[in-house]
Amino acid sequence: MITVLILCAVSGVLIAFTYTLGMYLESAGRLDRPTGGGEGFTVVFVVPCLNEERVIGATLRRLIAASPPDGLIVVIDDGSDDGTADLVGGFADPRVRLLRRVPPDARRGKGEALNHAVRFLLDGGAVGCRAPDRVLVCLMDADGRLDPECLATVLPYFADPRVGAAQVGVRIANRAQSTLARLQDMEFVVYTHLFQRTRGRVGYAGLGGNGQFMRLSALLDLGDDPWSRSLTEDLDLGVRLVLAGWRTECVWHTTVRQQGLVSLRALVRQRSRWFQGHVQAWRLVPSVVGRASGRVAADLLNVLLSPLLIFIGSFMTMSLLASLVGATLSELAREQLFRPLPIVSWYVLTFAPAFLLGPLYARVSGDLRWAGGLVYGHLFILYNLVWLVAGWWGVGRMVIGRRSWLKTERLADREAGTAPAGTVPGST
Amino acid sequence: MITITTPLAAIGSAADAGGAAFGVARLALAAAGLLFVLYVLLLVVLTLCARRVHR
Repeated sequence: MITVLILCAVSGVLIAFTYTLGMYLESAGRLDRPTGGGEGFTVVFVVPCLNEERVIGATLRRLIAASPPDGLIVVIDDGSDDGTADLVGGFADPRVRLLRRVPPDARRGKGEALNHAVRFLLDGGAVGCRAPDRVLVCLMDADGRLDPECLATVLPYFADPRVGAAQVGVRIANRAQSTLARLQDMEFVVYTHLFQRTRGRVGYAGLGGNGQFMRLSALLDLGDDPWSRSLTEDLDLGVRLVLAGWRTECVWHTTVRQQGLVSLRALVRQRSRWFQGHVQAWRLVPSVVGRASGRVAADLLNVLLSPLLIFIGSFMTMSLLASLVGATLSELAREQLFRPLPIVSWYVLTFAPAFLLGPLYARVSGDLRWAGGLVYGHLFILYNLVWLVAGWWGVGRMVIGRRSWLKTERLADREAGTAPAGTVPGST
Repeated sequence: MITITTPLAAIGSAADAGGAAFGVARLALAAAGLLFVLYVLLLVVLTLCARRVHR
């Protein structure tokens, strides 16, 4: 029986690799990008902020440069106690609007802040008499930097009235700063080019919260408060849009750059929040079963239930560690284990994905050679152990009932600075 | 009762400890296999339920 179960575990590894390879083959070589037809949309950038004075100045300068004359940039200050509000208030451009949330309404989660922005757009008349299906809301992180051609690339996707949202690719701006930041960059590239591209072709790409474009009418389809209070409100929103009948696209050939974390502890903390939010999203499983079918249902369920995989990964890691302990303590075991066949079998089962992901990353990143990609491919397999630690940390937080928002700390931004002098627009 | 010679005795029985560690390794891998089977079953059952609802 134990041997059969061990074979099941090995099969699981092979099936996971086959699934990844299938996704890659399905997306490879296909362009599927619309051209033209992106005129007549009003773009509203929404930037939620909580203590973002290190980065918000440079972000706003870039958004102002990218924003069309009739565009809008809504910054929601969610109760910052640093200089974020003053910095944003110093921008004279009439397209920049500052929404200030103060306690007890502030700091109740990113979803609440974003719902506030939607209410401002509707009730405050910020989008005037423009039809909601011609208004696109682009959600940006405070450290987000869109590619210059981003709007021209994304807007044509919304010429199709079935498209409710589009997620651009994500890259790590400071990937040259540390190996950890580089591996996060690889993580986003792999996610976008392996899974998002294929899911986008079918119309159910995931939304990531940064560089996330949404049709206002699609948001309104989800009710007065489109965003949930989940710790991963973007995941929730994407699934609910698909279940409401909208297509969600992946625009992989343009990107938003964001800061990567250079501290392992901060990374684990961030991923534990994502893990916890993912588990909160399990409440969507009955809706997926009731309202989706076929491939979309199967893959959405796989995405939602994927936190369960940390238990499988944990037992596999435990098995490896116990084997090493056994080999250390027993000479007989060493003789049996350290032979070519067991070592090659273990290497292939563990590191085979590196030969797919490494070259893919080298090709997309543009600043790595094939061999360098292969090295990062191997490091990437080890990097994924972060998810095991983060997952168990998240489980621990859930057990003791902690659901607070563990916000990611920003690094100092070399482009950041004070706002240009000028008149101060009104705060809301 | 733990005596001062207990650690030395443990080292002496390292081969047994090695066997025990391998036993743990096998059990952990079997547990991973069992969880994988349960995960796949859960996905299949839920997907079939979704298909049934939409018929």
